[in-house]
Amino acid sequence: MLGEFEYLLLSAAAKLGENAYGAAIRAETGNATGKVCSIGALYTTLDRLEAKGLIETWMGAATAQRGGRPKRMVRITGEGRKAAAGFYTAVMRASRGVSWETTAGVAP
Amino acid sequence: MSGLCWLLADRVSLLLATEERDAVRGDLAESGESGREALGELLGLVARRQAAGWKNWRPWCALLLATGMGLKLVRQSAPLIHMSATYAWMYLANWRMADAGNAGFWRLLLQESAQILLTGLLLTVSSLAAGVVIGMSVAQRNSAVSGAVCCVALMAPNFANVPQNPVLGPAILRALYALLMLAAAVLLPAVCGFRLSSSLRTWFGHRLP
Repeated sequence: MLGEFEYLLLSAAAKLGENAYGAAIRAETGNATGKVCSIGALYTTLDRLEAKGLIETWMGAATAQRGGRPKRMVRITGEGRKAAAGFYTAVMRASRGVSWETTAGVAP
Repeated sequence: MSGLCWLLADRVSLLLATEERDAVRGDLAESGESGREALGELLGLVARRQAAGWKNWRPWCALLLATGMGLKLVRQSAPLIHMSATYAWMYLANWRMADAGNAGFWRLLLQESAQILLTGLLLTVSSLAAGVVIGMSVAQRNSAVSGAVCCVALMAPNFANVPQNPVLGPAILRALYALLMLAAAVLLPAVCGFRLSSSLRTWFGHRLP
């Protein structure tokens, strides 16, 4: 089972497609959650996802915008897509019948 | 301030693997982070990397080895410090020009110098070997910080019991002499050994996880 941050990174990488790399994924998760994650969290989680076989990474081309430094490109594997789909389905199933907007702020 | 932070960030990033360092520095440049933010981000990543390295058995094994070797080196360094201080005091404080013409004096000086040099050489080689063993035990990815921790463990028993020879007079002079000897005969060779281990690793094509 994926962690929620792992799922966020996989979703961002899926959305970015061929342009998925460190800074772009960080910006994308920042847009989605309203909070930019730390580089440490990003890179250690990418390592963990790669070790699980859910993504592949490789060093891409350098650009002037990045001070001539290369990008760490990211691609989701078939296993990664399956794991993300499983997580999404589980969250959707768990959320069925729950309306957070109406229950938010109500003490249990 | 920002320039200083970027300078520090550059230094901190050296603790990362080359490819990761380039990618992270590129990401920081692209995101337009300030020097302080970049330094904070890099410190966070380095801390995570170093902490992850200690989940492995290798740094713990190296730390155990370093502590054991440190205790062994204490026993080797104490005689060297005492012997060299005593003979240095003996010859410097009691020097007479008339002795220079005495063949027995030179023979004795040669014998005693050879004994000190041999003891010092033995200690230096032991420290160098300790550095190599520790370096080979530490995982490659987080070697800098783990190596520094192991060096502290290696030197702690030596610095905790600094042998002081009373012939050297004031306490500060005694301590300074002992510390200089420890730095030259233990710390420096151990650090050289640690650095040498990385070349040996490459030489043998040994890739650690």
